[in-house]
Amino acid sequence: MPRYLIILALLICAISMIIFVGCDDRGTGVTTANVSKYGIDPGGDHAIQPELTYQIRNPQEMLLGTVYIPEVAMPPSSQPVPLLILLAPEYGNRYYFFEAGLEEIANEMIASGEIDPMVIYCVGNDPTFGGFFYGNSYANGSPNNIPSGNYDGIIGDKLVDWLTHDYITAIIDQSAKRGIGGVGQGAYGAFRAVLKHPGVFSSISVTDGPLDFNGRDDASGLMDLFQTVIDEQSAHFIGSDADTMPFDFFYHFDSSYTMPVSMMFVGGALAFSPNDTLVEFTRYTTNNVITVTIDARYPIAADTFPGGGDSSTFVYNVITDDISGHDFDFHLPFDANGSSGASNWAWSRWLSNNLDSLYMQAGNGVFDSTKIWVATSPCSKWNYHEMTTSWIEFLGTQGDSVEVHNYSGHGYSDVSGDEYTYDLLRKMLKFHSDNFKNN
Amino acid sequence: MRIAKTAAGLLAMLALSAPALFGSGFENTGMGITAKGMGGAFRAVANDWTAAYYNPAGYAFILDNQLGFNLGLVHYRNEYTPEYLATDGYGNEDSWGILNDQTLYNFHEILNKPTLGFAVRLPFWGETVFGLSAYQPFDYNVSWNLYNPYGTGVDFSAYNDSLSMFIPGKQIGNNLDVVAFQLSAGREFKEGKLALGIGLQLLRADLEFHDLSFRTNPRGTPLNDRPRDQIPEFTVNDGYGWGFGLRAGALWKATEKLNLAISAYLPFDITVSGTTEFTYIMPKNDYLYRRTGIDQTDQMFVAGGAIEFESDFETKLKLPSSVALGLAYQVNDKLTVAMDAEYTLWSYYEGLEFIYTDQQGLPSHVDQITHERVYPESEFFSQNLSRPVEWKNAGKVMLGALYDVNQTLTLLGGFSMDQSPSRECTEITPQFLDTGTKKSISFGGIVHINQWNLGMVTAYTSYPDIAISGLTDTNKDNIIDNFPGAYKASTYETVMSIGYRF
Repeated sequence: MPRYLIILALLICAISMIIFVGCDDRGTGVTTANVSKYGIDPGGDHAIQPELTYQIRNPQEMLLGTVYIPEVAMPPSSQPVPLLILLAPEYGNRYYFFEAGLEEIANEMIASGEIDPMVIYCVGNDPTFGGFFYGNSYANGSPNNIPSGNYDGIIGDKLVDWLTHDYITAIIDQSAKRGIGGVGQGAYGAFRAVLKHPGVFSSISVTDGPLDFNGRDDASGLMDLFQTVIDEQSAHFIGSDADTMPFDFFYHFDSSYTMPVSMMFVGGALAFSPNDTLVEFTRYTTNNVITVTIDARYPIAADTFPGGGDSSTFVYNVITDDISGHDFDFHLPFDANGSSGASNWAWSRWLSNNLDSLYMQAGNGVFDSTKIWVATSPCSKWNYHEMTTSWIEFLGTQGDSVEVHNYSGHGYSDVSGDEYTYDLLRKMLKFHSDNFKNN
Repeated sequence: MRIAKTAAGLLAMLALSAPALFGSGFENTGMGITAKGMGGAFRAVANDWTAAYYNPAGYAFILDNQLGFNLGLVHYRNEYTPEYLATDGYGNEDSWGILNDQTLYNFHEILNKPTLGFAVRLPFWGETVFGLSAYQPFDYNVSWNLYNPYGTGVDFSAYNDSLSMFIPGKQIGNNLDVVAFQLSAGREFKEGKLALGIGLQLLRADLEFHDLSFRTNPRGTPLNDRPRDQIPEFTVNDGYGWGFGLRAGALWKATEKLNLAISAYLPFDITVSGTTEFTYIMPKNDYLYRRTGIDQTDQMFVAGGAIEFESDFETKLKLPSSVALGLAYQVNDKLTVAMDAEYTLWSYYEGLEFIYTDQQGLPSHVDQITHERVYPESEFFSQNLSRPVEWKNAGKVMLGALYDVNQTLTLLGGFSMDQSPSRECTEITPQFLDTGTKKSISFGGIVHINQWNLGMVTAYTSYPDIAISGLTDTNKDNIIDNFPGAYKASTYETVMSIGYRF
């Protein structure tokens, strides 16, 4: 064979080899998740009496919750797992954390071994009135039958009891395997639950919230928002059809969704400074229709209005129970000028529910068995950052250590709402899981 | 010999002035079986009809008439491992559904690049050789999928748990073809010594540009809370345009063995117009959808549907000019070696900006807010799309050899180094992937059977690996202009040819 034909044959072989080896089909590399859908219980609701018996617009006395259940806690293994309770912010319902990706994040982190499996019970706030701060007022040392419900008897108490003993999923009944967390108003609720029920939770994780009502200097915090409420109300009234009417700030007070700060103060006022409580109802059912009659109503304290109370903060004709027809009047923590004043009765009721007050009531050492994780951002809304850092400083003065996670907006989205709940959820779950492992 | 040294020195200076690159940007890697086999070092050889691309002056020294056809088979073999993270100063990260940390490949395609032409000696202006050819001076074609909210390790289904049906089958990609229909002419001005040539081009550009952008959700909190803070916008821009180009060159036979060449290319801008298909995948949140106080516009941003419509577009394709020098030396009767250097003015290319007009097929409510400007979202669905780049001029050095084994077989070998125009910019996207100085080797052969030539050449181009970190918004329009992550690339190209001399 001529030499050039051998060269030619080798050349063709070499080229063919390169094409064969170098140009095979690799696909696109795109993979899809194979994360099994385990248990999501969208109806993890529980009827709680008497704490919710008189909660406005809740005739079924239901605490609404949605539950994440990991695979190992489901049949057939039904392995008992730790419990985490998460409290939604002021406008969040029971789906709040799931809308922020809780299910996907938990599935992924459990599958990768980053966290241990846990049941996560998500409590919804009441979006109608901006949430009730997961709290309630006390009269004569006892909780009242107020329209916000008596959350102090629920979050760290009956809810835990129901979940660990009566819920469908096996949950470890040890405080060392139990955590609580929250966002915004839920952050306040989480701390409040621990302060009211020391030793029930071994870990608490929160993001910015109203954690110090009067701020670092006793003159800021929520107090800086009083004028915002007045501005919201004034803008709404002036633009309405009723703008020819004389403006009565407290008579025309509006709690619509477009005024979120006002909403929050309405919810808080119903919890902390209602005008009348101890409303005694008789409720009966005839042909599946619930009827409530008002047997008696009692003021929360002797100095409430009318009858000698603070008329300057009195808001009335705003909320009527749709079943009983009863008007639930309340006191805002400030007057029409945005002033609380040293002698303001309603504001003093709020301050008695401030976390530092509750802390002093509970006594030093209340967090000795509870690890604390707080995420805070200077960009948080509504002075939440200032209130949060003030609370952290207070805890520091009491000798309580806090793991602080600072965060801020990136170049494309500042922190003006809950943009980072999706990110922070990962860190919250990791914090609780690590704590459960170590206990 | 002194001329050869001087020429080699000039070429080396030109090469060194452009420190690092390959058929950079979206420039074609060349054409012609001999030229490709010699790594592109063909400007001072230029002895067949493909001189239309390298140096039209070579036509003047073609003694016979030629007819030829090439078919290039190209396989872009790229890899991309995204690290698409919007990160704040404290380490909070979000991928918005990009498949981070997964090695992704461009669609498997064997692309074909046909080229044909002829050269004839006609008795005009004293034995001027004319030629007509069709080839692609610019060409690029890659497609990718890199968005999947349900991808492993990504699970972003909180954004929208039922959107899979809306995700386009080809998410991002770029199919750009610029075809030149070139009339060439070459004439000797000093017999046997010096020739000049020119090529007049009619250019046709076809562009199919698939893109994925994340638009900032214009609604307020909680509607735009993460994971709904960014809304993916898929676009398919499909259009074409016409333009002109000019090639010119000179070939000087300095000695019996040494040829020197210079050539230049001047393409003019091409306005590409066509239609664009938009697909916006909206967030889905049932709770917010039912919430009191949500208006119709709010609902559109939480309903979870896909908003699809069309529009006309126009974009300007700014093509770069280039200048090149060449040297060829006939070592003996069988062996010829050559060296070329090319410098391309890629800084002229500024990226693509799609101007949209005449949107049609918008849902009535979207149409209302878009045209009546009654909401802040009026601009949301009508924003232009800009993909700016800040490229640098780039150089390329080519070395080649031709060896006539006998009258039947010719062997070819070549090597080239080609600088990337994007070597100093962060606007790297998988749509124009040029990671750095490329090294290319090629080899092949031509079989001569009577008046017929049959050839085959293969080339392998290796790109350096690069890693781009951080999101870049070059023109501050709130659209991220890069896809950060780790890139790898290589290109396989095989050219087959058939030619006929008469």
